[in-house]
Amino acid sequence: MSDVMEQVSTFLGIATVSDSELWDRFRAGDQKSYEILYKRHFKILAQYGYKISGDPLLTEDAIQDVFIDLWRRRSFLSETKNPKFYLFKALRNQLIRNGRNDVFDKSNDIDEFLDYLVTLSEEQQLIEHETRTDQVKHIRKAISQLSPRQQEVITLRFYHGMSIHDISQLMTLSPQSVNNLLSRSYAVLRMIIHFLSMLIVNVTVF
Amino acid sequence: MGDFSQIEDFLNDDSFINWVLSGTEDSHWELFITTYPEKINLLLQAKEIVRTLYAAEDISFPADSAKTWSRIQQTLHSDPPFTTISSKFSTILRKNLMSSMLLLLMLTGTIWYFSNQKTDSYTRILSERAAGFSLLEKVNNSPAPMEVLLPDSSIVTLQRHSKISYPPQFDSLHREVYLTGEAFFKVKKDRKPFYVYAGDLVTKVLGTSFNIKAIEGEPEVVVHVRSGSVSVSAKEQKSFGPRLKAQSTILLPNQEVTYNRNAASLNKTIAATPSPVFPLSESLLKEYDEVPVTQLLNTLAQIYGINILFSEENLASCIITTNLTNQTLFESLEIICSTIGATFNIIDAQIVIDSTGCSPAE
Repeated sequence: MSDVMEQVSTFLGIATVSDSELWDRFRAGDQKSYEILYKRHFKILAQYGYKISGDPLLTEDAIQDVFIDLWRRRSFLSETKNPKFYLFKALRNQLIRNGRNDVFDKSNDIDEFLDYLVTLSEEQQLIEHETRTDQVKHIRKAISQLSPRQQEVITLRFYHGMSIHDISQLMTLSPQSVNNLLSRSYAVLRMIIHFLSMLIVNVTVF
Repeated sequence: MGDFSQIEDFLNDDSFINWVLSGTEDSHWELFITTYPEKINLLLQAKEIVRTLYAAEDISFPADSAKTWSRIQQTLHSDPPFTTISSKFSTILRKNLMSSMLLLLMLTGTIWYFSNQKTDSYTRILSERAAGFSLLEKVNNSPAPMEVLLPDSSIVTLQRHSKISYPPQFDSLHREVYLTGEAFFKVKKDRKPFYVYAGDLVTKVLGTSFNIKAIEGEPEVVVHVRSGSVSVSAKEQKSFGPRLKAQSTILLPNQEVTYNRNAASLNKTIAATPSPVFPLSESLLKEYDEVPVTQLLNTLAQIYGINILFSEENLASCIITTNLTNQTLFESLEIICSTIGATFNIIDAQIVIDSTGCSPAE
């Protein structure tokens, strides 16, 4: 993203523009600001969309729809302190509108987890020193066993660094519910990781 | 928010998360560290957790930013030129266009559905029944075990008075066999799941070795896992094929489940003679000189892949010198327990050690 920013800053001849500035300019009809908004947020929107829908094509389409709508309705939009949040909310709603019934409702594929366990236990040797990549792989696997909502809070909190308040607004839950989801996720992750550490010698203990 | 006495206190703090992920409010957290040096360990652990979760969530999928952008541009360029009035008009036009497109999509979808002859479970049952006439059957009437090679190279060791039926070729989605009697399965790892139907029990595996005992006339069916893991379900009366919703359990190495046909209950326990999960780890069954009992118990747990639960506190002062070469798991446990004056029990496929601790002299 940084090289794009440099390009843009040079082009605009100014220091990096804030999101709200870009937002106001694009609302006024500035196409360049609209494009920067898109480029700045595409990757994180893609991560979020893919995380909650599990479908890359669906995610791309939804992002497309969000931005097309955004441009068409720009003069009806109000200013906002947090355009990033607005985009997240728009994407979430768009995915619900566009998606098949199973969006947000992916059932846990226990078979996949079983397959993973089989692979681990068939390794036929004690794994002495786990590499960082292996650890991350195990955590990823553990996270995939959480419920869809739990997975969503985990990604919003720990990848996008979203505040509890923003998460609660985005997912239309109370802040207490968000905290509960997080607590439960930690408990489940702890259990799964402890179980994995029975098979493997060195997994980060939660 | 609390006083940061636990890791979760850090994880619940918005400022902390921001600091770890993007370095904002650095001075605030530097000050925190200097003010509360005793909390540094907790903070570092929390930081590590955040970093690890971030790394785990950093999935890259082939999202094409440029392609999506050009599609956006194309769509917007074919919009009618912007004025307040015409934008309302184009909205109306778009709404009608969208609903007729929706209708078209639905029609296309329905046609596709019928033409593809989507197989539901009922059709599959019919074809299964029809294919039932072309199943191969292997019977073992001899007193010795008989080896059967399945179409996917899995090996079944059929015990006496046992029968197994399977198709000459497995279909594209599953590998299904039918058993009565007793057999040991060594299943070839394959994308297609492997199902064994035996006495109302369905055992589903992906590639592992296990034993099934389903003797006709006996009320119990036993599945014992040697390596890998399987999912065992009691088949619902009405359903056919692998879509099972009735009670099921996952078996891990050295576990076994007993299904009682009359009571329709699944009971999970540890196998009578557990074997090491990783064959090479047998070398860990050796002489131990003055080692903490807790360490030895953890080692045993890892060798056999079985949970051994004990009180860290109680056993903290227990040291042991012993030789575990060639001992089975239960023999090892007997040795350890009698040395420290403890007992062990098997509860829900786990081993629980009961001890009041060791006096310093032990």
